[in-house]
Amino acid sequence: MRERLVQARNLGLAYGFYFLLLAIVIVFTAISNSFLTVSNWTQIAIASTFLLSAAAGLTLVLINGEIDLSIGSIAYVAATVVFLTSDMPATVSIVAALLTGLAIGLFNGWLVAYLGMNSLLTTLGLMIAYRGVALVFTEGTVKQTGEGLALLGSVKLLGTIPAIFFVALAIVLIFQWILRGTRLGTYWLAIGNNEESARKIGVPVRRAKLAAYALCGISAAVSGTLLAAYLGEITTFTGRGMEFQAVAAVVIGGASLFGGRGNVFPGTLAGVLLLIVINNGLGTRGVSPFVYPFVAGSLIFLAIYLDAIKNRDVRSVS
Amino acid sequence: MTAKLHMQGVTKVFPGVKALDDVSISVKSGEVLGLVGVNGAGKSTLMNVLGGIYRPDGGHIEIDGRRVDFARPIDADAAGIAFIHQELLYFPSLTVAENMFISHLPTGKLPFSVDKRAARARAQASLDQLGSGIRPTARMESLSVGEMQVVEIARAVAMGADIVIFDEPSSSLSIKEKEALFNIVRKLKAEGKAVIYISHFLDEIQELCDRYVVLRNGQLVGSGDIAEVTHDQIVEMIVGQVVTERAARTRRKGGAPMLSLEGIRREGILDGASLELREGEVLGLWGLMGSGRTELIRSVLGLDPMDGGRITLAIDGDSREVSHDELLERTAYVTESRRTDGLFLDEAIWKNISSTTLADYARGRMRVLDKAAEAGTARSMIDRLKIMTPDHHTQAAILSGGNQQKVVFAKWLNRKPDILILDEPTRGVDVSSKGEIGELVGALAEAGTSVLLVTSEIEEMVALADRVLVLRDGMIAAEMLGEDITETALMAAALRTEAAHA
Repeated sequence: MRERLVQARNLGLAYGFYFLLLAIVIVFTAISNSFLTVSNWTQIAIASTFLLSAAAGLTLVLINGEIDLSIGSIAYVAATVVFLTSDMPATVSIVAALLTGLAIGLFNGWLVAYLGMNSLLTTLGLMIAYRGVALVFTEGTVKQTGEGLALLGSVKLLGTIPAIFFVALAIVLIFQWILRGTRLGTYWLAIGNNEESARKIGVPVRRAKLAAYALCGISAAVSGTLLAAYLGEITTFTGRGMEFQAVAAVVIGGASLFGGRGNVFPGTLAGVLLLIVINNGLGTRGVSPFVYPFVAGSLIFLAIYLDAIKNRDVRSVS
Repeated sequence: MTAKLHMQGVTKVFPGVKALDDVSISVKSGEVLGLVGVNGAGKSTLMNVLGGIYRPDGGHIEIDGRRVDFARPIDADAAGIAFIHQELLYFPSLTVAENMFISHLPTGKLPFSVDKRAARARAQASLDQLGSGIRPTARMESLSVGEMQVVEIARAVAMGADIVIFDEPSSSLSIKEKEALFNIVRKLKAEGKAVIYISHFLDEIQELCDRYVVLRNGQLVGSGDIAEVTHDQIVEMIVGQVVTERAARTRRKGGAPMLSLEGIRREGILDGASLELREGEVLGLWGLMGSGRTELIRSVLGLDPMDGGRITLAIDGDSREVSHDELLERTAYVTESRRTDGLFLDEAIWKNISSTTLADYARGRMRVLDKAAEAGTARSMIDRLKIMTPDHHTQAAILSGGNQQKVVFAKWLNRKPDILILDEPTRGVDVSSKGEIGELVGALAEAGTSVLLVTSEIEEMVALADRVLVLRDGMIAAEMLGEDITETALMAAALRTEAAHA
């Protein structure tokens, strides 16, 4: 009997947020005529795209037991690069933006993995610094992207779903494969479990962490680039507050803030959808938009609380 | 047949200590060698030399008759030597197969990819070889300690190790798991591996090993076939020729009961331990690592969970049941890890000494600390305990081990505790400080303090304790009084032998 309860609880801890997502979809469908419609789900797909593409990379860093709070600012810097290259062909803009993300990711990773700096405070500081750099170039005003990129941003697939959503989805799937299908991914999980043991056993800890940050930088840059392409312009709001939403989505999706466990697919994807669907559902019911931060914040708290409970169990066992 | 592994005349010197002095051992393929000796006899140093962690200062290692030189642990790995450590390295959320091959994952068809099927198959093969039913896809965290150890052994087998070293492998295993471990060791032997088995338990050594080697004070003091030696003879080699008893000192009787523990239980660790500590006595808790001596103290003080039992304490002459906190308030606890638990290393000595009694120095409405008074206390403690330091402003980190330990004592004495608990009070402490600490403990007991002493140093126990309780498997197994407290008797008691009165 007691074992049953424990099993049920573990099941709840592991899959609780999937059930919650399902329940929320059902509730919103029941109480709102406009929720389960093609046009509304197209909206949800678009709104998910930017958070999803950034959260995918953050998942990898979190699995290493580290964090990158500068992802929102990296997205803004990448979007700024898109603006600076707006006279050039779209491909040049894209490549330049992604390379910028890669470079920043490598820098973050170097600070954390090689210099041993605390990732939370380091990337918190850099979050402000990177945003500052972008503001210097955009002068804090709205800028236009090149026409070619704006055109790409408006491409639709399968009827009404914008292509940019599939870009984000592709990143999720690729990162999931790297996590579970490659040596690098196994190293990340091992590092997140126990960095000291990983080092002793011969895992190249520093290089593996550097790679996670590099991919995280690229993933944040993709987010910024997609947003710029979709809007056809670069706003100063690009990526603002995204780091906390992304952390929430990743943790809701089952990754641990303590490292060592988590998945990009379906975990982080489900986490992002949950946040976005709640926001959207409240919107379609005409609930005041000021309610959303409270709901999202409570959800984040709940996710982190449950993460602590899960990890307390694991620690007391070992 | 030449030996698989031969260590010839290995010597290792650390500043001030000869940890190994011309030690030679050899193991043949298909043979299990038992390595025994007390803590500090040199077993670990010898194995660290073999594992490439220390370079020997003299002597060399041969494998299959060829000289080898290990500069790093990886070199020992490559030579086919595998260590099964007491503390296992593992990754809880990864699978058994991933844990086994984390450093040698097989490559798949796609670039960078891992061939998980191959990893699983190889894991399965070596687990089968050991006759284990563990699934390669199971998460490591779902296994018991014993099963994790089997995984570690399977890893060694899969990596092609043909010299396997077990470092006290049975200390955290249940009886059933021990049996499984023994079977695996026998299997390894049958497959022609050379095995070195380190253990405190002579029963295990006699059951498993073909030959034995005894180390004492860094020297090889005995070796031979296990069949040709008795239990008692090994104990004697481990302890050394019975030291002519020091001038028999009078052992204190102790006064009224101070603290009594009844049926203290902790799931899987403590199984109903009871004891009574009297006023003005030094009560020794004796037992091997894992017998529950430190665990008992930690549970009683509320530092670890306690699943059952009663704690009764005499407060101002009245005995009553107390909570962990009430007990802690009247107790000074000198932990075994003074650098992490016992001291604020970066702070000055005077701040360390007053840290347990800050309320006594708080003055006035704002409760500001009276630094002059704190410094005064520190200076008098430095004099009283003969702490060797330039002055009381010196950082604790700079002091020697012995003087650091005296600062820990000073900090607790300052609180004038009723009960003083000492866990390995002289670990890493030089000989002269050891003597002074011993005298101090004696003086405190004379003055009426109740002292509970945990130590793994046999001489210390004999020298300090008035009464000794022997712990085994989380229970009090025996009590020794007065003249019965001898080195041989203690050793025998811990090793479960009948040779108590040699």
